[in-house]
Amino acid sequence: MNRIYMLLSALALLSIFFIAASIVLPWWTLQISPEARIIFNSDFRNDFNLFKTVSSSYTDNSLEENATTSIEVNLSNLTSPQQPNPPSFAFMDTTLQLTGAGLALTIPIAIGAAVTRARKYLRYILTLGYIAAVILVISAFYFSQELPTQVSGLSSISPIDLPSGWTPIYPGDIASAWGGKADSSGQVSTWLKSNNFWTWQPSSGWFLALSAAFLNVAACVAIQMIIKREQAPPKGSMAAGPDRTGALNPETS
Amino acid sequence: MTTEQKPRVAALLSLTGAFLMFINALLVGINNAPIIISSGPVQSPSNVIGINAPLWFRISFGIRGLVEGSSSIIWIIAAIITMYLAVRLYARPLGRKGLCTMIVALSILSVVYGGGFVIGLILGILGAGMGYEWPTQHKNTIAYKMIMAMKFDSNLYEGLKTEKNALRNAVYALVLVNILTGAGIGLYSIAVQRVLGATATSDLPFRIIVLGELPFDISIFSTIIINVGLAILKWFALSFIIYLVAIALLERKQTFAKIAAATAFAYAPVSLQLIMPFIFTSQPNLATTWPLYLLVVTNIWMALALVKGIGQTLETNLGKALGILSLSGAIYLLLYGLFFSTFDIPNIIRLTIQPQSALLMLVSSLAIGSLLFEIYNKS
Repeated sequence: MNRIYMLLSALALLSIFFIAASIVLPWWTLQISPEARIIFNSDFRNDFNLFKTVSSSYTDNSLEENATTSIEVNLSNLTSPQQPNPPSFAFMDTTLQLTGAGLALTIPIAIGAAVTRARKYLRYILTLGYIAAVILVISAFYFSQELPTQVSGLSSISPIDLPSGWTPIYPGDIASAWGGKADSSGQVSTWLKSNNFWTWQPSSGWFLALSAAFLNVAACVAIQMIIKREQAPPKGSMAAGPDRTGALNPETS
Repeated sequence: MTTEQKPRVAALLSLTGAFLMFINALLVGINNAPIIISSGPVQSPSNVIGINAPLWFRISFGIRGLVEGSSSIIWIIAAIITMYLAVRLYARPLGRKGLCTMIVALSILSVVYGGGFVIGLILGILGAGMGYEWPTQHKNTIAYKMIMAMKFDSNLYEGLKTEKNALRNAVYALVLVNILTGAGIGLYSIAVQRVLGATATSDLPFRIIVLGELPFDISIFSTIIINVGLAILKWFALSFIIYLVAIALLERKQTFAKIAAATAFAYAPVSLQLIMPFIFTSQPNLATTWPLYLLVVTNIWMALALVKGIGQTLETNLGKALGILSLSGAIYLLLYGLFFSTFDIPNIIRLTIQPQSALLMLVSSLAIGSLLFEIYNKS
């Protein structure tokens, strides 16, 4: 049975790693679509992270030497001084706090499953695991709910100027966390009919936080199942013992 | 037969497969598109579509149109459920049949988001197959025997000689192999038909070849069913020919059931044809190069496994086994060319030898080639 606890502890550790990584990785990305990337032989992406910064990079592969321009700025730099109510992006602070709480509540699961003496408290630790999962799900969905409203309040969406001839993108185009903007240049549509030039979606940090929540739930459900099984009275003959699988295995190898 | 207290190997394989599926689903979600690895950039549609397009290929993990947007959350959850089921298989193996069925179903579903880089899909199915037969020791399960057949492991054929249910298990393996090949070839064939049948103004070929779209058609199920039925007929014919040749020329006292079981397991490498729809090439090579390479490689692999299997089953050296296979193969190829290849299976790509004179030449070469291995010398 120790082996299964170690496995579940490893699952919880993976979840901890995911949450920790999610804090530093971008949570939302605006980029050119895969088809536009192929057609223009270029890449362009803006990554938004929880510390209220945006890193923007543009790579032009069509040049003899790949030219990459990268810049990281505060989100406040994308607002105009003349704006009466510039977006504060305070929801990013809340998301950060929620994710941090999720991380703190997940650590006991890993310890509880790995340390034999802590197993008697595992039943209570599980509650923390479920709470952590709920908090992480809330932080992910809260972020994706709040982001479009705040981003649409910016005066510009990218700190790097877009190449001429590309379909322009404005903050007002962002109506939801997932979306796309169709090609208006006509260059993509010579290859494909009605396809996006721009796409935006939650990024690695968001996905890792959400995955950590699901991993927490999976680990907690598995631990609960094992606890239930350990406490169940032995069924049938004495030979079966508490481990019911033994009854099936007279010739156990 | 020995048993295992826990389906450890089965659970470990399923868990590893599920973990790969999870990483794959996560990366596809972050990418918001299938993960495509290609041999080079596509500068214009004519680079990949058209009679003068150079050889270009790509492997796609994920199907375009099914992995974008918030749907990726569903795939991540599906992969985590598979991980949970694998853990549960280890912790509570008594409900293994339901668990393994679900693991297989979720592994097949993982094709949508890349099948855990294909390896996850294969491990998931193998692990669930082993788990299904628990408490039988994993080395005696059908799934493990298929791996042994691919590795030319002589222990497999030694075991088959004494195993009570060898023929029944071999038929299960054969059916599984042909379900997988039917699905792989069928999906690829549907996509190729759509590309070749597209009008000049259609963007479908570009979407399929470059962007990783994979059209689906309900006729895939008839492909699988007919493929399995025909495969059983072909296997029976091949086994019977080998049996007759072995009995007539070597006077070996081996039952038909043992030869048929060894033949069925030798089909195991053919199951790798499942990976066909993950890789696409530029259009002129689409219907020929890639499927041809895969079919030739897997069939040669199968032939080698068969040489090993027949050699072990008949307790003869590899030279004589090769001779028996050459002669049996000659008769089988004639039967295949004149009879089996005339069956009309929807959405199937198969090897055919054309014109008939070439087939006859190959058949006679194999028959003459068998002389080199002294199979007619009974001493």
